[in-house]
Amino acid sequence: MKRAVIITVIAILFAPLCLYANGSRPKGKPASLLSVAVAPVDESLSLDNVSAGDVLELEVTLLSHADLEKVSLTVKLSGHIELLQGEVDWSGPLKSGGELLLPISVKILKKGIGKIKVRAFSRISETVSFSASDTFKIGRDEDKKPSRLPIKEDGKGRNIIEHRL
Amino acid sequence: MDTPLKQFLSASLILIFQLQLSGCSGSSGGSTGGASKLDRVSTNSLNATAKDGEIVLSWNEEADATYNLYWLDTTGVSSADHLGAFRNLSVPFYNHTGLENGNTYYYVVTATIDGSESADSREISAIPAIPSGTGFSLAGSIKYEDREYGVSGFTGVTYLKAVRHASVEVVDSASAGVIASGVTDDSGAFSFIDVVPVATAIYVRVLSETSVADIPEVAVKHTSTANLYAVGGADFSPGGGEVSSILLDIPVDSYVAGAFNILDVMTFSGEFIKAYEGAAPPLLNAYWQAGNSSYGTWFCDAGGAQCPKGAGIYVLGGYAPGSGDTDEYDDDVMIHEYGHFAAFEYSRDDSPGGTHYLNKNDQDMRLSWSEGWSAFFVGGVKTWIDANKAELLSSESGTLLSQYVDTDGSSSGLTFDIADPEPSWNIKYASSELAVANVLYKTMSNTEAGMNAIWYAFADYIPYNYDPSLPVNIEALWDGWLTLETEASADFPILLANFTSMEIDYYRDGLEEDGTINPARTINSGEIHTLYLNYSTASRDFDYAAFDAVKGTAYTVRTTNLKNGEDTTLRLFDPDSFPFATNDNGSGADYSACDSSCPDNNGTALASKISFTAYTTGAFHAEVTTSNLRPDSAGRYGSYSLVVTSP
Repeated sequence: MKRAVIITVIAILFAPLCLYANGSRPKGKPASLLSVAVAPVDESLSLDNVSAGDVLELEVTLLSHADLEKVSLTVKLSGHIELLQGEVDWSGPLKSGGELLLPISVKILKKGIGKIKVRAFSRISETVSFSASDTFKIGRDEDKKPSRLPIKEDGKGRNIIEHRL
Repeated sequence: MDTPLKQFLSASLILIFQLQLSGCSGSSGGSTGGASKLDRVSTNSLNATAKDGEIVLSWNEEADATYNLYWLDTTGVSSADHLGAFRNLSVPFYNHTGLENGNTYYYVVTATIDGSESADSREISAIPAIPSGTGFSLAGSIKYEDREYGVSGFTGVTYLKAVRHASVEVVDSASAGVIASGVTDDSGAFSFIDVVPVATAIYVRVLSETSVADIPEVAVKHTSTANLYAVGGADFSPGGGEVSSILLDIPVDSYVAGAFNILDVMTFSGEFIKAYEGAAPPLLNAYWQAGNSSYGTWFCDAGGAQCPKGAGIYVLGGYAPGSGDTDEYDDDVMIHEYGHFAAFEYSRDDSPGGTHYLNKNDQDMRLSWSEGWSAFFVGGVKTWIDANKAELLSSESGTLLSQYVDTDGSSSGLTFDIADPEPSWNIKYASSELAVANVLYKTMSNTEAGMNAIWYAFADYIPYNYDPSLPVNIEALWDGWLTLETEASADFPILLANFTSMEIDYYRDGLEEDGTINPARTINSGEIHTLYLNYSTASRDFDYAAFDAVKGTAYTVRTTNLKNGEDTTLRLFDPDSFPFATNDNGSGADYSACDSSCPDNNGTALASKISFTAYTTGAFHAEVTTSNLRPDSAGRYGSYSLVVTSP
């Protein structure tokens, strides 16, 4: 099961490669030399059915695409969840192609909203740095989202979406 | 300052009313780091309507606020002056009476909430006069709030910048019908003259598209709906013969200001191209919406699964800290993508696309060229902007023009300097996008021909003169330059130095002339040979080297340490100059049709190797040239070493 999860996580990390495999190939911005993901170990877990008191096992996967002397990783929890086990701060060197796996377990305190955000960062010099982050959300999204804007018609008969100050 | 309206009025004796705008320089009223909502309150929309001996001022209403209106008869009015003020106004409008017709009056407004007074709005001015016409006139300027960035990401400082060359409409608020259309100028100013009044209130809105002849055509559209964005101000009701002044400021927290930063970045990137091409680029569609984390940031030359609305640049969007990647404010990222658009429109781009990393020296040559070009393009555009329209730069003072910043979004962040690559990466070779960018940036900066020579090779030589059967990589640029330069040209040593500084060796090595079997040098394993195009004869390079073999002894001859995308082919001759063995790839693999799944240019995959037992004793020869079966990912030029071993 664990191997399957790791493969899934790696597949997520490299998802852009798969996207480019067919059809027109987008030309994108340079990729960060760090990739990070946080996902539940039990990939069949339905987040809709998470209840208060449940314990969730997750795994943080950090990949480096360069030899980096110091990489910092932080895990931040917000909402109605509590850390039971695992490191929320890590720092150390990573070799190119090196992978770091950090297991964490959290307890659901109350059904509703919760968020686990992981962020990796490495600064090589004053002008060179990289970061990567991933967020795992439990329950509904707590972030305020922009309201839907009305569609109107402009002077040329085209539909436009209008925001009024 | 002459606005279009003022120019019009100067030329017309029909209109009695005059109006003059101030505060359009782009610097006044800009909010600063950590701005709260209160800091921006009341700056979003400020209208002034001039009448006979009076000026009616109105602005957006804020909840639980009172307002202070400051005024002077000279420009530079400020809440700090404590001169001419109407304080503690409970409604968002004021009728300033008892004024002298023909004089100019200036105003700023602030809002006070819970005892805290906001920053001043932008200054607006108007001139009261006796009405004479039946239509109304209005003028103003439109700005958006932009976020400053530096090497550590967003600094927290924001600025108001002009919404330039964009479509502006006057809308009948009740019917939603458009009653007049126009455009903003380079300072964001606009004007409408003698518009037929409607019975109800009207408002002014700006659209996220440029719509001016000879200006780069750009449209920024909502990713999901492909509709343009529009931002409208507050309603007001001018009567016939009146002249109104309007300021629209689009704040960051409106979730739509990003569309106007995308519009401006794409526009000034196009203006850079126009400076060298002589004409504005064609239409570019950009797709963005707050919270879009699925599409972008990338350029597609055609529609597809990753570009569902068609060709264009797709920009990732954020809507809250940590929620989404706010590439709409990452100017460097968007200029990079515009570089890809430029390659599609003006040059040729054969890149297979895909994920790419700055620190790789063994990339597909097509990819390293395409991405190296776009990485350079960022520095090229910013250098030009800095020299011509510095107020458009969003980078923190002191940030290098060669610095690329992708601020830390929800998935990744990245900063690097193309002029000074990170030493620990040991960046080099034509198969490195950063090396390509560095060569281009240095050439732009330190040669007399500079950007003109680059643009010639990019937009003239490559699409029209470069062999269409050859994949485009940095070799095409070198070929193009050498149609302009000769070895005697002043710039040639600089060009050569720029290439060799990244160990891109496209010139004859010290082992030439060795184009014939006899006489040929003896193989020395430490020597580095270069395969290049001989421009005086327009012929490819063949290297020959000799080695002594003894009958009955086994030998292996191989090319090693291939650089700059070189793909060798090896042929062996016996002492009678008879060719008896040949090899393309030592592994036996055929990469000639690998397309997008080609091997890395890692120095070994495309190397050649022949093992044999000598059937006679004497001086054998090895011939090395570039393979005719090379994959599109490889190059025609490059370097290698030759090794002979015997067990």
